[in-house]
Amino acid sequence: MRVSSQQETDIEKVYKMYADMLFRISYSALLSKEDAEDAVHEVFMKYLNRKPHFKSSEHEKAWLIRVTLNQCKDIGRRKKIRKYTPLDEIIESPKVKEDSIGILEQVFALPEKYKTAIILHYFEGYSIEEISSALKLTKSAVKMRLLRGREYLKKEMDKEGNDYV
Amino acid sequence: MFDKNTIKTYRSITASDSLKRRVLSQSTTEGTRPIFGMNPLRGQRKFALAGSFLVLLLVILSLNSLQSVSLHLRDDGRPSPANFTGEKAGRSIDANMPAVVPLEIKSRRDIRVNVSSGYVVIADDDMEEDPPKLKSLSLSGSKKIDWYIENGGEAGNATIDITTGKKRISYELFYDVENHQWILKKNK
Repeated sequence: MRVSSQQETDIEKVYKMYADMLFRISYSALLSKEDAEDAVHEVFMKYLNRKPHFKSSEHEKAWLIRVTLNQCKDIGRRKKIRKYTPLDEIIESPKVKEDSIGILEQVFALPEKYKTAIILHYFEGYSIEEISSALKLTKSAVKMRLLRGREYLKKEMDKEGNDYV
Repeated sequence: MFDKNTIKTYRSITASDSLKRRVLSQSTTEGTRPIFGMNPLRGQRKFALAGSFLVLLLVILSLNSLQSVSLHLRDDGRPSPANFTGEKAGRSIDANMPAVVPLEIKSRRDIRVNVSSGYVVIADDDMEEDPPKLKSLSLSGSKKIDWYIENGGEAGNATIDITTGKKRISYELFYDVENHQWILKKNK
């Protein structure tokens, strides 16, 4: 059985809209290009096979984020030894400043629950409400994770003598 | 909170073209899907799920066995003419003399010991005072106890019950007139 050309168009559209974001989220969770690609690939396969029905594009986005995070956890559990990809190897832009890479590395080193909230909010631009829907958390829980994540990051930055603001 | 450069750097992380090709090519080749459905991991998950149930079953069974209690005669230097080996074994004690039955209870849970005749004490060589003589004892885990029957000949059939959770085992101590020996037997 082959998928219809309409489905192909849909998946292309969805891929174009979300693949980069899902890859970034996956990379930040797994710190491996190879595993992040596997995670994103798996998410799109689930999207294709399950053909979930979404009430809105927000709902679709929340589903994709949630499935991606679960997929990353799954890969993290299954693969105890993973091939680490340094951040500067996956950033192709030559204009990137070293300071920025240093800060991102600190963010990516945060404990998982804080990192996810910080990345979705400050880097992907999602509102607290959107994050609470994607992570199935209360808004106050998301706020708490953001607060603790910031505090954790500040402490780590202070140790290194960096300033991220 | 984060400066524009950091956010820009983060946003410059993008999915590779090879990933795009991989996803889109798979979207048109459903025929390559393996058994157990469309996702190769699904089959593995089914096995993993079945495995988990099996492990759970084994854990439950092993927990059940851990809850079991056993009672043994101790070999701690006391005269012990006959070994207690399980269902039925003898212990030669003069029926008219006080019987002291040195026992070891093995359990991983809290247990309660009740005797119908005589009394039980915790066998503790380091204890400075005489231990209390009790018909009923609450113990935590494995312990050595001594069961005293003041006058063996008059005790009749004495029982010791060990209760842990919902499980209860009972041993009977009686005097075998023909063979002139005490018998400690597990009740079924």
